[in-house]
Amino acid sequence: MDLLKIETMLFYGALIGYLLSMVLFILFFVNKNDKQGKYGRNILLIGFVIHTLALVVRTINTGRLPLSNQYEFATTFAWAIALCFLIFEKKFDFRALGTFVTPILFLIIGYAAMRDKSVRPLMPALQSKWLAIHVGLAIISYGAFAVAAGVSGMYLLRDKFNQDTFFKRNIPETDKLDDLSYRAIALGFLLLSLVIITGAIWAEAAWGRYWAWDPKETWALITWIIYSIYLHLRISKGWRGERAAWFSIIGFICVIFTYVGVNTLLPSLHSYAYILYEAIGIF
Amino acid sequence: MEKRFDDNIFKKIFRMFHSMKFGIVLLVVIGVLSIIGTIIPQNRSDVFYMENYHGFFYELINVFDLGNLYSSYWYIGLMILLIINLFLCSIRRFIPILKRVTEKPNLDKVLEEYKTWDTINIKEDKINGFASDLGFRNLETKNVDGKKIYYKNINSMGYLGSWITHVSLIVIILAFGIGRYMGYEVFVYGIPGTVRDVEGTNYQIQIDDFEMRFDENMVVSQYVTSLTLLENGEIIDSGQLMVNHPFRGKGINIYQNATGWALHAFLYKDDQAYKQTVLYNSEFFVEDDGKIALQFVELFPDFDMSDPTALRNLSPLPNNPVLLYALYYNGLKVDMGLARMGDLIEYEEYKFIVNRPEMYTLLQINHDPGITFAAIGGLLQIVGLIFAFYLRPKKLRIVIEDDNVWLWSKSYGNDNLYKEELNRKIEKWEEQ
Repeated sequence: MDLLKIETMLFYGALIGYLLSMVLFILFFVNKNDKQGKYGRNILLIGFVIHTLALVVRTINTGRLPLSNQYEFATTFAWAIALCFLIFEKKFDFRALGTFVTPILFLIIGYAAMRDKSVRPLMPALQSKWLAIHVGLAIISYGAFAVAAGVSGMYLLRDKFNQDTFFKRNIPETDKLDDLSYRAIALGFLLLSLVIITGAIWAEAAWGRYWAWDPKETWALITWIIYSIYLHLRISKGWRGERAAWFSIIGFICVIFTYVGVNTLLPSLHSYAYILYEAIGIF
Repeated sequence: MEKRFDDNIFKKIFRMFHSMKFGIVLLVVIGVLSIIGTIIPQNRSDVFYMENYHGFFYELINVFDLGNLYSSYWYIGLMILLIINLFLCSIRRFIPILKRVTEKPNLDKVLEEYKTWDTINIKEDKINGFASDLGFRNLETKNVDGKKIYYKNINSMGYLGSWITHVSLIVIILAFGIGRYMGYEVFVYGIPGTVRDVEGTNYQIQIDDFEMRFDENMVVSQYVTSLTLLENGEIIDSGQLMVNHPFRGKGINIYQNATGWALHAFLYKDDQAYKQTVLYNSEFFVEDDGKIALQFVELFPDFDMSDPTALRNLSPLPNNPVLLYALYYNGLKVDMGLARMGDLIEYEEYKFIVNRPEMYTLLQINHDPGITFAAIGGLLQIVGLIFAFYLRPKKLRIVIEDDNVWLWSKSYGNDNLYKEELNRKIEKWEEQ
């Protein structure tokens, strides 16, 4: 059996695991049944292990980290979200976060499932040590923003049902959620700045300009501006609570557009198939 | 009265320029405009906008220069306003921030307020261990009137984080402006053996070799150009460059930008050799005062003869090169067709022959005097953000009087997670 087939099987195994986990986490909230939450978390852990194996097989098959195209980025992004959730869940005893994070996780891995999984050699512009650094940082940064959005969703729910004993038991207090969301955004913002800077260093070597107002670059800047407004309002104007939670969710929608929307809707140097054919000019 | 009114106006304008509200408004406007710039394709010809946008939208694009948004005067104006805002804000905040960084604990205030604090049940010999667990190592102590005060401020440099980040933005934007207005970017192209002047400089580039490397699946793996750099005709440097590996030397950087096909074209007039040239993709070979012209429309290096109407290649290698050309006579297109290498393309007294297809290299030559500042700005930004987010200033004060222990501690930003951690540590050390 070839490695691509093994990877595809493992990938779909992980996808099914995440789907089941999402369903259980939603039931956990709907039925207010702690057991379903526990099962959701365990199945997510199994899905995560299978997903890790799929990424290992992909890495062996391609001879590089799986960060080079839309499929690889999406599957690694989903993996990073699952990892962030498991860490948060362990550190803060925060199972209810799964109800908010698994739908995001499932959307991302679902997007990966729709992309071309074939293994192709890297085009010259991608043959750089900066690929792993730049894209790896982007994945962690986007993962942190995803967690912040999930926590903000929880904030809004906890705020709305603050007398419900189930919510009181399973979701931390709003003040704590607010701080957690802020901390996740702070991490995401720092890493996004690094993503932009490493991208600029790489762009200078590959395209001769560290900043060219390419739509992907510009949307990364727009995302950066949105979160910097959030940080200013929070630190200086005391914007906390519900408004901050909505801001965090809107910021994450912008992150998703920067990742998916720009590549599919706008012509960009980051749409690598485009540049390949343009550059060669022979096919 | 008039003077006072003017003073107030100036003060108001000054206040507005350094206010955070103004900075946020600028960021929002810049963000929204940047979105528009990603929706409307940038730097296209006027014809493109005329064809793709009609009526009101074309007028908008034309009037507000939205097709060249990031270089438009009003977008640059907004950036200048942002720099002014950041600059004034940074100047105004510097002294107060510096005071906070160098602030010494006010023990008189401690003595005034300690009885309003919470008491804890940690023994005196455990105080240093407890403080160390919270991140406060080597507490300072002072005895005043039978009271022992333990105190420490940590991570005070964290106050500078936001300030450094703002300064870094000024540096980055200015560096970008320096590069844009004091640097240059030019392109040269040619087949091996070509020598080209670098426009606006004393440099020339001699293209020694160009190679496209393929992997086993005939997919391009790299483009490699060998070149010699000359200044006023004298060799000053030489080397190789490829995608992601520019040639850097003598203050200029040369990048592999693109490639394409070129042909050797020969023109005969009345069966006599008349002119010859290297004809590059999309170029015209115009001769005899514009009377005759051959246009290189496209080259198919490995033309699929089984279905000529498909205009398709079998591979990127020049196994069966065929030129798609257009022929002009007295300014009118008189012929368009396919020609193999060595075929005659004839019209009236003129004959063209094309052969020896070669790949040419397109090089981008940059000089950006702002790039070092941009790098410094980027570095400052990361340092600033790390300071701001991960060097959170904290203060700890403990007063012991008789057997009572009072505690006050605060983290910058009044962070609830810190309060939680503090309570956890208190519980832990009270149990010991």
